[in-house]
Amino acid sequence: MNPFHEPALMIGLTLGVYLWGQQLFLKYRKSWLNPVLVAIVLIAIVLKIGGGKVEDYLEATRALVFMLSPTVICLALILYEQTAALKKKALAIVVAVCTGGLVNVVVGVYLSRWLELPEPFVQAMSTKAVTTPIALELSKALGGEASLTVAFVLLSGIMGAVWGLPFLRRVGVKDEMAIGLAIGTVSHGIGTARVQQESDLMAAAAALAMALNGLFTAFYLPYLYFWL
Amino acid sequence: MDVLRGLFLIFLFWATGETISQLAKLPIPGAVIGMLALWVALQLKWVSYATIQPSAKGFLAIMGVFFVPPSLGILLHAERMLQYGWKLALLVVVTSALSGLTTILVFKLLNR
Repeated sequence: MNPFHEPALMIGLTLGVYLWGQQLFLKYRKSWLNPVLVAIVLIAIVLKIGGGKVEDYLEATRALVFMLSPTVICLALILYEQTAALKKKALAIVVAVCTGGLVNVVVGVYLSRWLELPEPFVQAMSTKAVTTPIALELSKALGGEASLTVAFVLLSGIMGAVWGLPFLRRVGVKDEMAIGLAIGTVSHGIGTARVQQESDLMAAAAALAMALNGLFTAFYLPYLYFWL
Repeated sequence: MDVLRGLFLIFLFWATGETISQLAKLPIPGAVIGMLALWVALQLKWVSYATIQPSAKGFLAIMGVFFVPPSLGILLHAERMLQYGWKLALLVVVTSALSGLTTILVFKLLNR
C-alpha cells in the first residue's frame, strides 16, 4: 500500500496539521504561523521523510480541493452582510482595486523581463494576483504553463496572507476596508481566508476585491499582455 | 434541514454560474459568477440569509485548508523556481507591495 495515495490518510493529515497550525497561530499570534504555511511545510517534510511523491498526494487530496468552488459561492454571504458599508464607497472600491491589479500586472511583466526571466515565468507573473481558476483560463489564453501559473498564484497568495497584514500595519494603514481591499487584490482567496480572522468588514472587502480584480484582469489581460 | 437546504442552494448557484460561464464562453469561472449571483439573490430576498447561513459559515470557517494541497504543487516547480531564487522572491515582494499600496492610496484619495 502506498500511504501517500490514500485519500483518508492524506486528507486526514492535511486537516490535522492545519488544525495544529491554527492552534499555534491562536496561541502565539505570529504572522508566520499562518495555518496554510504551517500545513504546507509540515506535509512537505512528511513527504520528504516518507519518500512520498507530491503527485500522489495531490491525487489523494482532490476531494479537498473540490470544496474550493462551493466556498467561493459562500463568500456572497460575507458580501451581503457588509453590502451597506461597501455600497457607500462603491466607486472608490472599483477604481482602487482595478488600479492596484493593473500595477501588479504591468510592473510584474516589465520587471521580470528586465531581470531576464524566461517567458513562462513572465506570463505566470502577470496572472499571479488573480484567483486560481481565472489564472488558469488566462494562462490558456496567453499560451502559458498551467501548473507554473498556479504555483505563482499560490506563492503570491501565501506571501500576502502571511506578511500582508503586518506590512500594511507597519506602514501605518489603519482603515480596515482599505486593508481588506489591498489583501484581496494581491492575495485573492488565501488572503481572504486569512483576514476572516480579523474582521467581517475586512473579509468582505477582500472577497469583493478578489472578485473585482479577477473579473477585470480576465477581461483586459489577454489584450494587454501582447501589447506590453 | 437548513444545512441541507443551504447546501442545495450553494450548489444550485455554483451550477448556474458554471452554466453561464460555459454557455457564454466567459473566461470567468462559474464559481465567481455564482458568488455574484447569490449576492444579488440575497439582496433581492430571493434567497433568505437565515437559510444559507449555517452551511455557508461552515465552508468559510475552514476555507484556508482547501488551499493546502494546491499550494504543495509549488514543490513540483521548486527546482526551476530556485534557479531564479532571489529574482523571483524580489519580484513577488516588490510587485505585491506596490499593488497593495496603490490600491490603498487610490481608495484613500477617492474617499476624501
